[in-house]
Amino acid sequence: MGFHRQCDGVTRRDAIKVGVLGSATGLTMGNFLRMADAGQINKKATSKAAIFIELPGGPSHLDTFDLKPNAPSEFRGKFNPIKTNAPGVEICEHLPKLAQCADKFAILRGVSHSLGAHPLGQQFVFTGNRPNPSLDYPGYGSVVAKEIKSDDDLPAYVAIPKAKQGPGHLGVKYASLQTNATPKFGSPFSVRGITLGNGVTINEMQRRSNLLKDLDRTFDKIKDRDDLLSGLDKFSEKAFSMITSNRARNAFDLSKEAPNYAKLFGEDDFSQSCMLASRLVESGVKFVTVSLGGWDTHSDNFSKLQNNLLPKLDAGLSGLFNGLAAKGLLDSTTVFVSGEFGRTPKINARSADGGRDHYPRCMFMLMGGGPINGGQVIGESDATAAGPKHEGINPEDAAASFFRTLGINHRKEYDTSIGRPISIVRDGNIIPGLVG
Amino acid sequence: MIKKRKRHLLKSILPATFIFCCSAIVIVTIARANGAAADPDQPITATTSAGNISKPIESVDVRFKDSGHDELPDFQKHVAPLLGRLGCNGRACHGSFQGQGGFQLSLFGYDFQSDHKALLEDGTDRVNLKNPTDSLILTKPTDEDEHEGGLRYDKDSWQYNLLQSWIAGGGTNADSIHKLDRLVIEPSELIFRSPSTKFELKAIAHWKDGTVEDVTPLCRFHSNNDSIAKITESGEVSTNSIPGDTHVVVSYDNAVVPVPAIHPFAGEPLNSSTAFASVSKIDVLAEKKWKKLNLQPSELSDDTMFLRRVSIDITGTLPTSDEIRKFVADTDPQKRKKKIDELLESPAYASWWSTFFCDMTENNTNQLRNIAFDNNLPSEQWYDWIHKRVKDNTPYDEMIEGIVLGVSRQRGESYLDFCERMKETSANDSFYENETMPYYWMRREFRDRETMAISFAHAFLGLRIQCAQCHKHPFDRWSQKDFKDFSKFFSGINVRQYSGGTTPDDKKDYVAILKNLDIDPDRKKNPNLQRQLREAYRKGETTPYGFLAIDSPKLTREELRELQKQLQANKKSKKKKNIKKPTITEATLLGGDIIDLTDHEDVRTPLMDWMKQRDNPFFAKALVNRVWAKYFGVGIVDPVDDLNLANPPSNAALLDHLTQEFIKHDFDLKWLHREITNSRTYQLSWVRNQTNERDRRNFSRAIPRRLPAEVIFDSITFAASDSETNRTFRNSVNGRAISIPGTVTNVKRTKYSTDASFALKVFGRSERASSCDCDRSEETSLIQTVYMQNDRDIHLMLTQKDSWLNRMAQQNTAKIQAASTQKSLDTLNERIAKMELTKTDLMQADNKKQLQSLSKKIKGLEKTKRSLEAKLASIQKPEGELNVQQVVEEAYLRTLSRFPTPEELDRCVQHIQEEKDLVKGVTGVLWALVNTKEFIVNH
Repeated sequence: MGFHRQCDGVTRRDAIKVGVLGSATGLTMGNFLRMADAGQINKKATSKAAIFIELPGGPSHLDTFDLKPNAPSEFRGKFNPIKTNAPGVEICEHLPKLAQCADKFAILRGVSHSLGAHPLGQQFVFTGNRPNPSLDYPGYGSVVAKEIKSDDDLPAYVAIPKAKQGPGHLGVKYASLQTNATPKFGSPFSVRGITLGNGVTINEMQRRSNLLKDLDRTFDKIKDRDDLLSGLDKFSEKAFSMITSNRARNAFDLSKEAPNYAKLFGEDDFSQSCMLASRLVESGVKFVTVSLGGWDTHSDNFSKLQNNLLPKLDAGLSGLFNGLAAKGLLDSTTVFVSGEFGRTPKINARSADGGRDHYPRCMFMLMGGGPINGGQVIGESDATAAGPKHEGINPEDAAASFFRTLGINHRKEYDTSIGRPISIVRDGNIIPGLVG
Repeated sequence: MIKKRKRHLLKSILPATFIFCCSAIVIVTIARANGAAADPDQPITATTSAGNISKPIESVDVRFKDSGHDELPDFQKHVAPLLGRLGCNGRACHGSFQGQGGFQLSLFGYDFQSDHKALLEDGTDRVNLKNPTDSLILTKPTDEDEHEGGLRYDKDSWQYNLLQSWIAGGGTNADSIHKLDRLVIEPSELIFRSPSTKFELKAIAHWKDGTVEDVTPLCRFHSNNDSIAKITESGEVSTNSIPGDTHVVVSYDNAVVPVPAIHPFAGEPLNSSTAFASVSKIDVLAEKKWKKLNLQPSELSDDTMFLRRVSIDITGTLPTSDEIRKFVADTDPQKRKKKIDELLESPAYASWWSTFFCDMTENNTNQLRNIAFDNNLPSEQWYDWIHKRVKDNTPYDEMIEGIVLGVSRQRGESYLDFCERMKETSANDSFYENETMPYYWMRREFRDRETMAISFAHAFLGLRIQCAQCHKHPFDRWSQKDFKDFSKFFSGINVRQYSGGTTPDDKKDYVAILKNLDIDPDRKKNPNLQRQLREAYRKGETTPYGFLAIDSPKLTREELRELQKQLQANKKSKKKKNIKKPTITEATLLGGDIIDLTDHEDVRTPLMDWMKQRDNPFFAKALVNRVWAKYFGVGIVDPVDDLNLANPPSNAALLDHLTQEFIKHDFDLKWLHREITNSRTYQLSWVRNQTNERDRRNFSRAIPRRLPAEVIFDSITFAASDSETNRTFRNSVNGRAISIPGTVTNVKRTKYSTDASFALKVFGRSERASSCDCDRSEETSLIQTVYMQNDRDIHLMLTQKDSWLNRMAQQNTAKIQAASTQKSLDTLNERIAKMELTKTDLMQADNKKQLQSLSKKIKGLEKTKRSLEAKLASIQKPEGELNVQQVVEEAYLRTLSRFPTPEELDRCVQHIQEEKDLVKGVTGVLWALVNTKEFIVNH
């Protein structure tokens, strides 16, 4: 797909050359910014891996991280705010453990977009690109899998149990390895295909693999000059080393965690998944997605949150932040938490306990770890959390900032199979004050 | 005020001289003889007489070399393309949708009105008519003023002079668009006889008004493959050491001209004595191109290679071991032709190619919700409808007509009658008998006509027009207006969901259907409405169905709002302008005529009529090219869904020939399959020679390609199944992955114990989601290999009850059992014989007491013997001996579709011996074989 690459007539790099060489004033600010964008001026990349906690369904911002205790009762809701260990930052009373580690993450309030349907909202917020019918954007993990090199005997990107967003135009090569199941407390855990099983022993596998090497010679003469054939060979080796190595198996084996460490987490599936995420990152996996659903609280919003969702989120997420810190990984791991939208400020009366409906105009996100400046609130919603008070943060900005923490230039462009050069994030700017 | 054009000196231009000769190095020179003055009375426009074009107007870089002359450049012909050439309207600069520094140009510049407006915008000084040299478009690009885009041209350059002259002349823009007749590029073909060969392209614009001008310095140049032909901004083409062929593309105004660039492979030219034995016109045309490139084709494939390839391509199914043996032994010279005919008649052909058409038309289950109370029903009916036509070999145009003109309700059919008919057709699976199939239009994503236009152009015309929704692409012909006018065909297509139609009669019928089911139709009062209807549907009652409605074309809400605004503005200004009636009365075919929609009851009819015309440039070609790509792994135009001017065919004569013949054969699909697969070109081996090892686009060898997802899953099943299942694999396609109708694939397959959905996802079955042939992926990935090596699917398939290995295990057990029974029986017989001897002794000694007890013992033993004999008889005798060599051979045939070499045979036997257990050993062999590259690629 050569011909679309330069459809500007001039490539960005050419433009820079012209700018620098031809300018009498030398390096102007504009030039500097462009060079920085083009990756020519290196910013210190601090995170080496990332964990994305997706909250599909759309969690209510008003009842979690953006409470409005002074709003009229039809907005306010039943929960009260509590102080956190970060001065001036308050969150919901049903998130006490997170309140004790609020210094480890930043809260983004007044995040805003306009797509109020689940699939569209997810496509937007979980890729950083407004959905486009003719193009499937990759989820964050696939971009990271492409941009950050990983070891042979480990998957680069793992989704527990699966991610809402696939690899899109980047192709299946950068798809996540899905666990398809969540780890259960006290039970052994394994992942489809990567753990040797079905009664085959390592020795037997080794003998089979030797046989395979001896038989698979038909294309020997041409395979080096054929991408498909040489790729298949590479994958064959990597798959074998992953299946037979201890490393991949160990990475998923939660029973190897010390009891003291395991105590940081709850016993529910989400907590166990967060623990697994921390273990995977420690083992060398570059990106992990953990999914916690159930936030679509059109009815009985408050009881669902109080009895089920918030305790889970509190235990799992606080465990993750504290756990990463305990392992010394928090400084090199970005944690990003988001649903696809917020929920209506006005409580609906369709159920006894009240409900809230889809609401993309105002939502929250969390980001912590790596170079993120934690212990603060960025952005602000209006009096009833019905919209951003000032200029809102949009999903593109969040995505751009997130990639920045990993040293990935969000304006980098890929050549897609449809021939259009596509940048990682089409629009979006780094959120001021968020990234150190 | 327009200044009068001063008579202009035309310097005579000698045409560029290009000397081509077959053997020697080419010397290319472009000579411009300067100084010879032309007749000063000659008009500025070049004239055409008797087909001979007089000398074109000299190019702008010469005309504006010096400052201080009075020629007035034209905005469309000179200024706008210059801004494009300078990169001003690029995506990263002022062509960005947000503009740059407040200044926005149309992306890649084909919107002359708005660009002109932006340049002359009040108070911006981009163009300063009073003091032209203060204009920002002169001071910024020369970096006099700070310009983020840096220096674009120097102050004393022709570019500066041209823009300056235009501003000084009033900065005007013509009222109407000049029509470009054609752009002629010289030379028209570039052949690099040596790595040092260079060409300088020259572009001559022929305008409809008769003007002919050298526009080389105003063109954009681009190479489709930089490693074969490099092209500079000014149109100079060179090569490096890599041979091959590509195109360089020149664009100016709305013209896009591809120029073939060929760098022949080294070595002796194709010798006529070793000439390729053509069997069809395909071969003749392919060979013509090979000769140009000096490509030697590969040898003909051998029988097993051919049989495996053609079986996979036509039927998505591997050949059986018996079939391979028979085919190899057959001495009929026509056996390949006969095999092709046999495959095209098999049920697997109809299934597999129905999947192809379902991919193409995007039969996506999730897009068809809320039409029936069974979400899978529409996509199943869609598949069945296509399947029936593929099986009957309905002409392609006829089949597509049934989709494009698809209707739900027959003319005059009441809603009630329609719902009852739908119930009947789904109850007795007879939907395919309907003349048309409306579901293509009923996908949920078809919310607006733009989406429909993009999808339609992609599916039936092989075009990607989505760029033109927002801008004219520099290397494609479609402008935003083309897009807009084409999309109007789709402005009356609507889906009415099952909650009833919009007319009073429809509503009455809807209520009647619900009343008949005792369901309260009031949504507000009856929250269980949907559930109740679903239940009624399951019971086989008549329930409501969604349907397609073709309404008269309407403006969208946004368009109406826009119109309203205009009307109000007019009221205020009290000017009476003619505002068009708020309907759509016209639409324009892509690259074709304007159609009066008011003449047609169904606005889709003229669209279909246009596609069926024998000279339609896209319809048949797109299909022929897609089918070709399925057989060769690469299209003649590639990517296959991008038939745009800048992406020309690698062999235009071949594509044109096949397209024309396909039309002449009345769109006969089986003819097309036969024509392609019977060609020698298709039947070439993948084994390369020195000349063609790099060739990937001229079909001089077979290119190994990964099997499609469905075929991989089915082939593993096939390799693992018992021989009886194997033999019927091609004829009973139920439960096969190649016959899954929609995009919901997690249906438990009946015959095979595993569910295909995981494998199909991992191997990239088409998602039918984004109007792109790339929805199907044939890429490889780590997870695929993990699947092949260690997934439970694989283990299950190898060892399931019906598996070949399990049968073998049973046989093996039987054999062992029989042997051990026989052994006990032999021992027993020996003991009895011994006792009989003792008995004789005892009889002689007349020892009655001992004799009695011995006789008793013998009787007991004989009883045991009889039961052992009965057991032995009951053990199923294996059919023939289990010969390890034969087992290995069978394993090869059912996976790689060929016989093992003696070395391979030895190695496998060695493995089986190492495992000490026959079944375990053969499991290992089968596992290794399905994990070879040879298994997973078609070659």
